[in-house]
Amino acid sequence: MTLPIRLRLTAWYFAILAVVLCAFGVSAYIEMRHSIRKTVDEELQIRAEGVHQLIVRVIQRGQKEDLPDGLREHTELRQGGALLQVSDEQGNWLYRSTVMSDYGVPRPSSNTRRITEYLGKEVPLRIWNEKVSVGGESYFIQSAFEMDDFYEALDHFELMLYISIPTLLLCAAGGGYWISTRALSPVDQITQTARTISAQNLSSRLLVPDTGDELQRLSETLNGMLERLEAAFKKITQFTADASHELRTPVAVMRTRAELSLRKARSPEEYREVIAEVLAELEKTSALIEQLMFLARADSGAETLHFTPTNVAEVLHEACHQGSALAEAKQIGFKEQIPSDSLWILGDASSLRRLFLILIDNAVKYTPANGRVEVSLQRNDGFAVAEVRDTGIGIAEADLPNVFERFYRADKARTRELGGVGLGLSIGRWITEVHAGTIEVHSAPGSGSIFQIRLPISSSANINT
Amino acid sequence: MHVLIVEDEKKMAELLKKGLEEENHSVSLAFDGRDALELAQALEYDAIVLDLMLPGIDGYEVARRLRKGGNKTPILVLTARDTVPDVVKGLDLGADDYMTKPFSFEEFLARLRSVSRRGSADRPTVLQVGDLILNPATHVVTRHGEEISLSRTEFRLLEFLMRRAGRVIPRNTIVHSVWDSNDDVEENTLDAFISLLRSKVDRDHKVKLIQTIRGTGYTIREGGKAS
Repeated sequence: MTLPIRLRLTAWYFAILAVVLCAFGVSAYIEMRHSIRKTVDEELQIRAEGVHQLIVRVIQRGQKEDLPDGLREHTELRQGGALLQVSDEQGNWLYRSTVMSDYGVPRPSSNTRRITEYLGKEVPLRIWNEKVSVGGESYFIQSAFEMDDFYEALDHFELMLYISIPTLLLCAAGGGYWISTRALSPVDQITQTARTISAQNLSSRLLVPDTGDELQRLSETLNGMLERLEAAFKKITQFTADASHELRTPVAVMRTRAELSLRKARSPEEYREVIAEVLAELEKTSALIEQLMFLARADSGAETLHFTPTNVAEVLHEACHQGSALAEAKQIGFKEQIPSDSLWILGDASSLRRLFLILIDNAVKYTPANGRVEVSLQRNDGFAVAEVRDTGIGIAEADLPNVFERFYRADKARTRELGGVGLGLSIGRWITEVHAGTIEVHSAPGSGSIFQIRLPISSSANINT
Repeated sequence: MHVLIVEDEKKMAELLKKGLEEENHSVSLAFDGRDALELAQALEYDAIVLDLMLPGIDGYEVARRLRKGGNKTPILVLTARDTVPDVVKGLDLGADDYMTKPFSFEEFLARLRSVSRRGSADRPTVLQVGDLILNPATHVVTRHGEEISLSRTEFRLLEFLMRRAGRVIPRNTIVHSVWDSNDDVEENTLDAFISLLRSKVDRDHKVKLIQTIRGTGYTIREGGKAS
């Protein structure tokens, strides 16, 4: 189960802070204790050294028997002297303060460490054990410090840590949660705004904050996406509008023609003519409807082509067969330059034939009588390259980038006369692209046009039959 | 009546012209906005049928410029564009009515007649000068209750003058408006037809409605000279 992002952020924040605070607490406690002990140890060392110096003086004066008195004097005069005991090698007490004997701190043994801790009557004592040699004899100096106050304070500190760290963590977690809510609220605003955007108001955009951060980038990216959606939507709306116009126009002509014809009695020849014209118009409209259905299926992905190994040479040849008849009817020279050997690609034969026919049909349409149309095919560098050249009216440079757009007509009047609507090339381009190919046009007004199609020869389709 | 059809689709334009001529209207054709503006500004029309999708200057712009220039000829928009914004824009720019294609020809004729009535201040469905009444829908002409039988051209000529009753129309304007550019119109054709009209309309009546304005043209109006 994935937690919501705010909880996750807070949990991470909590975990990290917990680790940090615990580490802090532990090290603060240890450092505190170390510091206390060090201070005490230094004090104990000084005291022990003082006693050491005393012993040295007394022994040097040769008053060894006065040592106990001397020690007693020393301790009673000095602060903290009440916690001192000195013994000799033989185990005799040279001096033992009453407090120390109360506590019953034992004599040191040979392997007693410099500093030891001893619990005397429930009071923790820190003891400095030092062995000194004076005049050939060893003496054991033990200086102690009552640590109960310090340790009490330390315990207090520990308790405080135990209470404050969890409290801090909880407060910080709460604060962290609040911060992440605030940080994410701009995202929520973006969500709200984006929700209101629909097909009806695709032109609205999100406000872009000028913060140079992720939120700005998010807003900019979403706006970019809206831009592309709007453009695509406009294209579709435009296509629908164009399509409906192109259908309405011939239907209106047919209707008016029929209505007029029926308003009065007409001669049989007139009726025949009207029926023939309506029929011609109907055929054109049918072809248009077919083109529109093709594009609609292509757009929705419903147009399924059947890809099988196809001989492009043969398909092109078939298209040329139809094309040459068209050209002849218009008294245009038609030349076919297709190699006799097969050129196999993975493709859908009927749509390829349609593609070639579109180009040949266009070439014938836009070339005047006595012009020429040439169709060629060759293999080039892993591609089947088909070319349709004509000596027709050509295409202006301004129109070249748009010729493959739907309903685009460079010369509206002429195209309509020739029965075109501007869909042929867009269908041709779709077919080419679905075959993973490219289509290009080179043309100039007055010097004709060359349409070139490159279709990849997939190696798996290289079947030699 | 004299109608200007602005339509870039030649087939439709020819059909409309033929249909209207069969209804005894005289028709001029314009295939683009520029020609439409030139013709509308040069000649007198009783109505303009305007397509919106035209090459160059589109239909909207034609309507706008005509109205801006003070041209009050009634405009009937005939187009394939049918969305509400299209209709609103057309009407607001000065069109008097709006029809979408495909359309019924009968309805088209009726709307054309309706729109042409909007040219005059009071809008009766018949044209009347004195006791001369012309019904554009039924093509019946009567004076003082008696029906007058007119040829097609005579009817067109009379209707043209009656639509501009009271105004003096120059000879050239009359000729270009009533006759098709393809017709053979000679110098005295107009005079001959005016004569014919007069013999049918004015001869048996005291008040002569059709009048010659020497040096300019003709007019039809009440309070004409008594003979």
